[in-house]
Amino acid sequence: MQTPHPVTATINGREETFEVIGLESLMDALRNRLHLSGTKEGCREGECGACTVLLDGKPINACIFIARAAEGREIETIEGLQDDLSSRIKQAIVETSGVQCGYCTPGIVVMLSGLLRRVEAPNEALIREALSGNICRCTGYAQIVDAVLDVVEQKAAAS
Amino acid sequence: MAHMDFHSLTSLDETLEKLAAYGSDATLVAGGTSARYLIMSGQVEAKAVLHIERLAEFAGITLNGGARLGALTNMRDIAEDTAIIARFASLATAAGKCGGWQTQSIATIGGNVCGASPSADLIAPLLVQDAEIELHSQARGSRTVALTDFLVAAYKTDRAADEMATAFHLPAQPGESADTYIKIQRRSAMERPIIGVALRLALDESGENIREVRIAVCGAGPMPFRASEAETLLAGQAPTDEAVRAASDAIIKRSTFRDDARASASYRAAVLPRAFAHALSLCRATIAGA
Repeated sequence: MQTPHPVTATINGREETFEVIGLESLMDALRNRLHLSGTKEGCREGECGACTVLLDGKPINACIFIARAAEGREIETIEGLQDDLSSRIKQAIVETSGVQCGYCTPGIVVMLSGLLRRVEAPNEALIREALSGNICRCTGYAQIVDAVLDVVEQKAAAS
Repeated sequence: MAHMDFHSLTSLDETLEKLAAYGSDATLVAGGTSARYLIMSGQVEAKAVLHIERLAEFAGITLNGGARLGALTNMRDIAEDTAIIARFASLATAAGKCGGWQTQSIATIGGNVCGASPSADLIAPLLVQDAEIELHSQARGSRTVALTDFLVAAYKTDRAADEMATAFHLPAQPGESADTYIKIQRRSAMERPIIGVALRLALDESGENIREVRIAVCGAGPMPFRASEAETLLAGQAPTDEAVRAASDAIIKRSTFRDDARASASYRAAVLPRAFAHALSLCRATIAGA
């Protein structure tokens, strides 16, 4: 039997300490120990992107990331993305009907928040490339890409 | 699951000390995108996991005549580096096609190469640069090995149990040359290569004849390999249809194709010559346009 090991990390701006066992994934720690269930479990092998979170600002698949490696680092989950940019992404996805079953949506919003923070005005090709690790089986992606282009357009109009 | 030690390390000395102590009982983990799966699924037995992602001194790209890439440089940083895109395009392309951005943010060049998976995306592009790998151990200091010699077989390298890979050295490339990577896959992303062709082409002063060509192929044998017979056939030749076909035949002769979930052996054999010819024409166009 393995003994639990404490991990301290900044989760959504707050320092949290939680216990993990062995190579437990960050996704399991977030969902089961911190009760942040917005990070979704899809494939558990880093293929579908439903569990996307930001690690020090970069998108990762939490399902394959070793929770103990998060020690001392900054994690942002869908629950923590309440800033203006993230809110605009969410609103735009609603307006373009980019949500059907909704299971992939948190991961997609996290990925897009990470993208738009880093790249002011991504074109469609870059948006599609950034989303290539986020599987959506309902929408066909067109509405989601439209949503991002809308946000980019709003940003350009506002500046 | 049995007890497993976990050490998160911050310096090379500390890492080499642990490697010396644990030997083959240790598994080095950087981003963990592959290693964690191998351990969890029982394919790799690890009594100790040495987490080396924090050794920041081994992440990053330095330019000299060629380039030095720290072994902990991640795929996304390689894919987006403007100097790598300009000088070693095949490497940037391959890194940008290795899983999604979520994988590329943490997966490292060292992990990709040292895992020595038959479908590792970066191996073929590194082989056509004549890349070398640098390794460190506590007992023997550092050594540098040509990548062709380092890769022994599928999942097997020349890395000793007490060594850590620290860097990749890409030598200066010939003038009037270009490189490219063609990855044949079922979807445009999130796939392992069915066939991968990396090519470095150098033309002579006339711009007509091939001075040197380096060809590396993956998906056509148990490991990515340099198609040296085809390289020899093309050296000093004009890339006529006939010469390209002869080189293609030499690559096929060297290959062993198999059926798997992604593609049939016959599809691989059919697509490889086309990927090779396409890679050649892309390199020629790049040189002509430069």
